[in-house]
Formats: sequence, structure tokens, C-alpha cells
Amino acid sequence: MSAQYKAKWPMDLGAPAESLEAKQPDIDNGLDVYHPSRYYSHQFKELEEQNLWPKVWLLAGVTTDIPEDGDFFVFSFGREEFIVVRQEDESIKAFYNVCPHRGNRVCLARSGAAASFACSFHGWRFDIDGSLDQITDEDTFDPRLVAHRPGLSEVACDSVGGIIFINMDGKAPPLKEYLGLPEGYIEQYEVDKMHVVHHVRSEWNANWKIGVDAFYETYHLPYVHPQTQGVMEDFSQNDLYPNGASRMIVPICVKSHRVEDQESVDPYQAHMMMEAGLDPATFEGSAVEVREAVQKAKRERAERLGLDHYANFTDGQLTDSWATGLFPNVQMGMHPEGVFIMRFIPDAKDPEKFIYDTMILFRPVADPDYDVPAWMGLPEGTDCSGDTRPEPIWVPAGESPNLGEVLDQDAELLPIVQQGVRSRGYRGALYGDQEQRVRHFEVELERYINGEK
Amino acid sequence: MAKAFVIEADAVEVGKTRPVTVEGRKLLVCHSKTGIYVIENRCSHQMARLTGGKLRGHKIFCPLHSAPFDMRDGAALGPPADKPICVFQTTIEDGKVFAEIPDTA
Repeated sequence: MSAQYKAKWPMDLGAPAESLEAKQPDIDNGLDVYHPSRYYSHQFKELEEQNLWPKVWLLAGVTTDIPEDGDFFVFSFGREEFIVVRQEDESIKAFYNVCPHRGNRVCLARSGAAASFACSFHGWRFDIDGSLDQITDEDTFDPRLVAHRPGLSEVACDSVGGIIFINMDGKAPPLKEYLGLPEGYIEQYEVDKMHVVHHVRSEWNANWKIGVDAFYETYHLPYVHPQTQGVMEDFSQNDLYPNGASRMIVPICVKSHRVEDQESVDPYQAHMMMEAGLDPATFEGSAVEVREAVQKAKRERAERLGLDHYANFTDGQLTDSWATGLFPNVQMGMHPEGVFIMRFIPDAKDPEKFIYDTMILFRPVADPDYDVPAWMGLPEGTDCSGDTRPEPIWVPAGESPNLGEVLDQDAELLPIVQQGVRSRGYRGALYGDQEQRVRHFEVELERYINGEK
Repeated sequence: MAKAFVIEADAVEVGKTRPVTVEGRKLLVCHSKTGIYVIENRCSHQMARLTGGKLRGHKIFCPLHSAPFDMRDGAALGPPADKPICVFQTTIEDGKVFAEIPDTA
């Protein structure tokens, strides 16, 4: 348990070594300064296409989006598309969304339920297990040409704790080993009982790594998001795991150590108290006591609502954000109430564009006051029953993605950073210890780019 | 507009569809977990029959290319369809399914 901590660098919440909250040992990732062309050159993008993306496990979606056999969704990634489909035996398979006949996209729907997939070009049909079902006018084909019964090209597909991943070349290490996180880390949140209640795909004028880099540190909080100082500590506990994975624990419901007044309760803190069912008007403690009070209230509420999985969580997890990075392009803000999955998806052609794909997952609970944390920016009035899977909202570059105050500030900033890293006057990133997760990510990326992995 | 008998309600199992012709119109009776719907049996995308399309709540997916439609109002809910299909106001009385069929098709 880690209800109390002292905000000093290096940040350590003091959890025992066997806890999933424990501070991980430091890793020496060196002091290399990488040339900034990685953020804009087509040559580097091509290296990523060849050496990175086919070799890694990519987060494709969540299992609750495809509960029944025949349920599918299409996962778009750069120049590729994949059909991810639930099988009759409840397993999940994934295929390139391309017809082996003439290369048309087989599935034009973005999600749905199917007994088979028929190509809209010449009507070739495939079972949901990818096998060839029917060639239109097959007697007009030389049998030798189609003797191998061409089906959909399958890619490796696996899931952990309700989250589905694919691997294009099929040669990545087993999923759990690849992810590099301790046993049970993802599973404890029971994402397989959560539903996507909000999904936004916004296009940002920046390289995908500019996105990863920004979201992998809280060093920028006092400058880009000064309003968070009343409710968030910007010294995070940084933890580095194998294979590029990392985590930062961001203490929430506290004032930043940079704020002099640690006595009076901030309005944002008061809001979080109300979310947990506490009345700030009758609260007699100081600002530093809010986090513990909220943890206690959430623990009691969980018992009242019969939410047994709260037994998995430390007190800290009930308030703090466990921002969990999965190499290469995912960060998940993990909370007992819900998980915010962000994916940094490269544009098909332009290295200076990415899609910021964000899904808010929520576990429906029969209590009107039970909600995901406010920073996730869930719009007022969102249907959180899990009965209806909302369509993704597409936001083109240049428009505000309406992701909430904090994330919209990032959306404004990153295209400007992208312009800066192109300058002849810029020599490459200089990472401090508060940015150790960014370096950890970039060092792992380098291993793929140079062929070491 | 005329209220027409379509089918016995128990003739279509939950999760199944059944094509019927009523007053010369090819209809599809769809029994999903959320109720019984009577819709036009033709996809607005490539004119395929919707018979056998998977049902999920108030949605039906065309069996050919998975075009999704809302069986309550006929709206096309996403690609590859961009036009609605006809749906018919449906009532169930004494175990019988009735639909309001317009006089002119």
C-alpha cells in the first residue's frame, strides 16, 4: 500500500518489491542523441515499414467488441488493413484484408457480423476462418492455378486480458513475453469486462513518435497543462520493463510539489472527491489528505457494489494513473473504473502525420455516480451501459479533436513540435531522467531499425 | 397503408431470419434478441437478399458484404452501404406478426 509518499526525484512510491506497483531497477540506456530525421524522413519511415511494424505485436482491438462468432472489426494500420474475427470455437483469427484473387479489399464494412466474407470485385467468398469457400465460375479457371485453394492471408493473433494483438510476420516472441510486463499486470484490470464507450480517431500533423514521446513523460505537465498542478503530481514513478515496455505512475488527487499551498483543497481535487462520493464541503482535511480519502471512499464503494476485482489493486491504483506503454505505439491509462487506450498509428504515406486513436473502456456498474476519471474527457451524457458500441469519430487534421482539456492541449502542441524538429537548428533530443521512458522506447526502436531485433 | 399479416411469431427463432412475400413485396422477418422486425429483403448496396444476415440487437448485416442496417428505421449504418432500406412498422398481436405495408410500392 502506498497511501503516503514524498514527491522527490527519483520518484518512488515505496511499494514492496513483490507488488506490481514496485519501483523497477534502473536501466542504463546510454546517452545517444538520435538524428531528428527519424521524425520526418521517408527513408526512416520505410525502415519502419520493413524492420519494425511487421515484427512487433500491434494492439488491434478488444475482445468485447467481438463477443459472438462471426463478429469482426477491421483494424487499419498505415497501408495495411486486417480483418479480426471471432471464430465458432471462440478463438480469434486475423487476416490481411485483401482478396488473393486480384488484391481488392475483401471487407468494406468497418465492423459487423458475418457468416462469410465475399469480395465485392468478382464475388470470391471466404469462410470466417479465412478458408476459400467459393470461386465465382471456377470452371473458367485452369485448376492448376487455384489448386492451393487460395484463402485469406492469416496473421498471428493473440490476446491478453481482453486486449487483442496481431503480428504480421508471425515471428515475434510469444505475446506475453514480448509485452515485457509482469504476470497479471494487464489481467488485473479485467478489460474483458469493459466496453468501448467512446472512440475517436483524430489525425495529427506530426510523426507518430512525436506522439509517443510526448505521452511517455509528465515533465511537460507544468508547462503544457498548468491546470493539472492542482490535482496531479508531475514527478512520476518511472518503471522500465523488458522489450521497450514501461510504466509511469502519475499520482492523482494531489497537488504538484511545485504548488506552495498544500493546505487548501483545489477545485479539481474537490471534483474528484465528488466522483468518489465524498462531499468536499464537509471534508476537514488538507489538500495532501485528499488522495488517501478518495482511495478509502473508492474502496468502500467497491465493497458496497460488490466489485471483487478491487481486491487486486493497491490503494495507489484507486487514484493514480498507471500509464502503461506497450512497445512500440501504445499507451494505456489504467484505472479500476476504466482504461484509456491510445494508439499512435502512422499515416499510410506521410511521415509527418499520425492518427491518434483513443478508446475509452468502461466497466458498467449499477451506480449512476460511477464514472471513468475526468482526465479521459468522456463527453457528458455518453452511454456507458455497454449495450451499444459507438462508431469511431473521425477528426481530420487541423480540427480540435474534443478529447477534453488536457489532450486538446497536446493536440495543439504536437504539430508545432513537428515543425521545430525539422529545423536545421535542431540536433536531436536530449532526454533527462524524467524522460527515461522516452529514451527506453527510442533505444528499443533503434534495435529494430538497425536489424538487431 | 394497410396492416397485413406476415407470419406466426413463433415461426422464426431468435437469431434467425425468414423471407416472406406479402402483397407482392419480398420481405424479411428478423427475430433478434431485441424483437421482431420486418424489413425489405434487399440490400441497398449490391441488391443482395438479406436472408441469413447476422442479427445483433437492432442491426442486421448483409450476408454478402456485411453492410449494416438499423432494422428500426432502415438507416445504413456504415460502408459499404450508403442508402437506407425499407422497413415496416411491425406489431405482434396474439402471436401473429403484422406489418404496415404501403399501398404503392
